[in-house]
Amino acid sequence: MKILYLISKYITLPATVVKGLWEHITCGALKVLVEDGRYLQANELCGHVEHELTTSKVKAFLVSFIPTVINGLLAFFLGGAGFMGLFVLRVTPPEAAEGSASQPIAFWLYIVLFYLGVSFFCNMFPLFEDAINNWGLLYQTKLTAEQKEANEKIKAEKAYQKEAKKLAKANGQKTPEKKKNGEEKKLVKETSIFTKILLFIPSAIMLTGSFLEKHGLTFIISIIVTVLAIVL
Amino acid sequence: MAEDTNKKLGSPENEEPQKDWEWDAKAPDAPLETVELSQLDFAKANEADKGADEEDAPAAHEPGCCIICGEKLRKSPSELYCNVCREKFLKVNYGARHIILSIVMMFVAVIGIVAFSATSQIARNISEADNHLENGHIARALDSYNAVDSTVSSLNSGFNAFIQGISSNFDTVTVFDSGIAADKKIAEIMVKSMTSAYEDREAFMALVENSFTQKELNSEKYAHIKECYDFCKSMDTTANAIYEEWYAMLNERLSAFDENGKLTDENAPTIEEIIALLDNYAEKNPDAEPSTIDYYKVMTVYYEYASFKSIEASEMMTHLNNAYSKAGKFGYFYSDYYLSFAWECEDYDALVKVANEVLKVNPANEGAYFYLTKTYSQLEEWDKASAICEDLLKYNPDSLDYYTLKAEVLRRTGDYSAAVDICKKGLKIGEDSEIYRQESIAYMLNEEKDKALEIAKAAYESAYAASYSGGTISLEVLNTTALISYLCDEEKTLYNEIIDMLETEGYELEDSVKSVIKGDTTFEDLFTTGKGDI
Repeated sequence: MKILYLISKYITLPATVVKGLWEHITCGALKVLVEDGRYLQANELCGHVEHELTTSKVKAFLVSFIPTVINGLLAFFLGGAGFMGLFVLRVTPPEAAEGSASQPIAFWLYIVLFYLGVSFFCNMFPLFEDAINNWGLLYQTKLTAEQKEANEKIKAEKAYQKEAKKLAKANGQKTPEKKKNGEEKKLVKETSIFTKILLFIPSAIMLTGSFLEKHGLTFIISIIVTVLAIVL
Repeated sequence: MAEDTNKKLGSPENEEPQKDWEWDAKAPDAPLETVELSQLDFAKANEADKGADEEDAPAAHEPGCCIICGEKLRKSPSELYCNVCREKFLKVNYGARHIILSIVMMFVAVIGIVAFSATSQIARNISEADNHLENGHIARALDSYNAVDSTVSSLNSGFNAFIQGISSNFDTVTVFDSGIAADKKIAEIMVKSMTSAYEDREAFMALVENSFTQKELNSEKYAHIKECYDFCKSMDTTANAIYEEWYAMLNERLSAFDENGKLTDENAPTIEEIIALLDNYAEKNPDAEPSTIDYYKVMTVYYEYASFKSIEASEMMTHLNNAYSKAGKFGYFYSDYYLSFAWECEDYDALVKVANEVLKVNPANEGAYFYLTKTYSQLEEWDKASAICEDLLKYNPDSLDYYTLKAEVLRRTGDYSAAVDICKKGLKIGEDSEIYRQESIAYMLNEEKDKALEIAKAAYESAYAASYSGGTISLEVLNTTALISYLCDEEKTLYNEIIDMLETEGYELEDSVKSVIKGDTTFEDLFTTGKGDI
C-alpha cells in the first residue's frame, strides 16, 4: 500500500508539492512548528511537512482543515472544468490541422485541468496522523482525575477571588491583589458539544479521506471514475 | 561553526535526506558556542550515558521540561521543546521557491475558476436544452442547443479580447469548444424535423459526420440516426446525379414562356419530356433513391404552376403522394410541401392524415398544427381546431402561431372580443404583424372601425420594420391593411401607399379583396366563410 501511496503521490506531483506548501503556510500562520520542510520524501510524509503534533484543538483542526479546503476547492474547480469539458460536453481532440491556424485547444486544456483536478483530489486530505490527532483532541479527550481536581481548585480559587473583591468593595477597602505564584493555571476543558457537532462532518471526512489517501485509494477511485466516465 | 549554528537545523538545504525523524540526531547539533566546556558535567553525562546504555531505552526527561535544554516548557505549545529551542533548532522558514510556487498556484487557480465558470455556462445551456427536450419542447431545446454555440463564440471572443489586450502580438485562438454532446442532441432533433431541403440535408450529414464515430453509428442506440443519414446520403447522390440535366431542361422550358405565361418557343422541352428524363434515370439506376425522383417531378410541375398557373395543382399532388409514400418512414421530409399543396388542392383528408403522421414523429411540428387548425376551421370543426391550437401551445410554448390561429378560430366562431384578447396576449410575448392583422380583423368584425384601422396600421408598420431585419412583408398583411384602410379611412392614405408598393413590385391586390372593394362581397363574408381569409 505504501508503494501505491508513493506512486499516486509522484503521479500527482503538482498537487503533492502544493499540498505540502499549503500545510507549511498554514503551520507558519498558526505558529505550529515545522520540523521538516521537504515536501517530497520517499515515505508516508510525501506531500506533507513534518510538524509538531499540537495539543491545541483549534490549531490541530485548522492545520488539517485549511489545506484540505484549499486543495478541495482547486480539485472542484479544475477537475470540474476538465470533467465537464471531457465527459459532459464531450470535447474531442482536434483533427489534424489542414492549414488552419486556429485549432481548438479546448481538448488539451480540459485534459490538463482534469489531470490537475484529479491530482488535487488525490492530495486533498491531511496526513493520517494529523487527522487522528484532530479526532482524538475533539472527540476522545477525557479529563483525568488529576485534571478534574485541578479544575475544581482553579474554580474554587476564582470564586474566592471574586468574593474577596466583593467584600473589599463593600468595606471600601482596596481590592486584594492576586498572588502570583509561578504560572497561572488554566482550566482544562473538554470539547463542548456544540463544537463537536459543528466539526463532526469535516473531521469525519478528513479522517476517512486521509485513511483512503494513506492507502492510495483516492487515486484508485479517481481512476475508476475516469474509466467509467470514458466508457459511459 | 557560528555560521552553521545560525542556520536552521530543519531546513532542507542543511540536511541529507532521511527516511524517518531521528530524535537523537538533533542533540549533537546543539549550539556549541553557547556552551562552555567547563560548564559540561562529564561525570554526570557519562553516568547518564552508562545508565542509558544499560537500559537500552531512550533518554528519559523530566515531564514539563524541554528535551534539549532541560528548561521548563512554560507556555510552549509543544510537549517536548521549550519555545527557545523550538525557534532555534526546529523551525523551517519559507524559501523563494515556496513564494514562486504560491504565485504559480494562484494563476492556476484563476485559470481553473475561469475555465470552470465558462464550461459550466456551456453545460447549463445543454442541461436546459435536455429539460426542454424531455418536456417535448423541441423548438426551445433546439434554441438552447444553438445557444451553446453562441456561448462558446462569446467566450472565445472574450478570451481573445483579453489576451490581445495584454499584447496585440497574440494570435486569435479558439480555446473553448462546445463538444460533440450538444451536436449529438441537435442531430437527434434534426432527425425528427428534417425536410427535403438541400441545406437541411447537408447540415444534418455534416453534423453526423463530425459528431458520431462509425462504431457509434453502427450501434443500436444510434441506428435511427444512421438510417436517416443513409437516406439523406442516398437522396444527395440521386439529386447530384440528376440535378444539372434536369435544371438545364427546366430552365429551357421556363425561359420559353413570355411575361403573360404564353409559350413562345415550340421547341422548348415539354413537362412530359422532363419527367421522362427523370424516369429514364430511375430505370437505368435502380439504386437511385425513388422519392427523390418524384420530388423532382413535383418541382418540375411546381415551377410552372407557381409561375404561370398553366398546370393543375392536383398534378403536383399525384407526384407528391408518390414521393411521400416512396420515402417510407421518411415521408415527413416532404411534409412541408405536402401540407401546403394539400391545403391548396383542398384535399383535407390527405392533409389530416399526413399532418397526424408528421406529429407522431415530431409533436412540435408547427406547420402540421397550422394546416390542421386551418383545415378543421374550414370544416367548421371548431372543437378540434381549438384543441389543435392548445396542442401547439403545449409543445411550442413560445410559438406566436398559437395566438394567430387561436384568434382566427375565435373570430370565426363569432367571439370577437376573445379574439382581440388573445391577440393582445400574444403581442405581450412578441410583436408580430400577423397577430396585429388578426386583431384588426377582429375589431373590424366587431365594428370598431377606428381601432381596426389603428391596429391595421400597426400590422403594416410591424411588417415593414421586420423587412429591414431580413423579414418579409406578407401579402396577407398588405391586402388586409389596404382593405381596412379603404373601408375605414376616408383619405385612404395607407390604401394608396400599399397599391403603389404592390405595383412597383409587380403585384396587385388579391381577387377576394378586390371583390370586397367592389362591393360584390362583404368584409364579414371574406373573413368568416369559406377559408375565412384572404
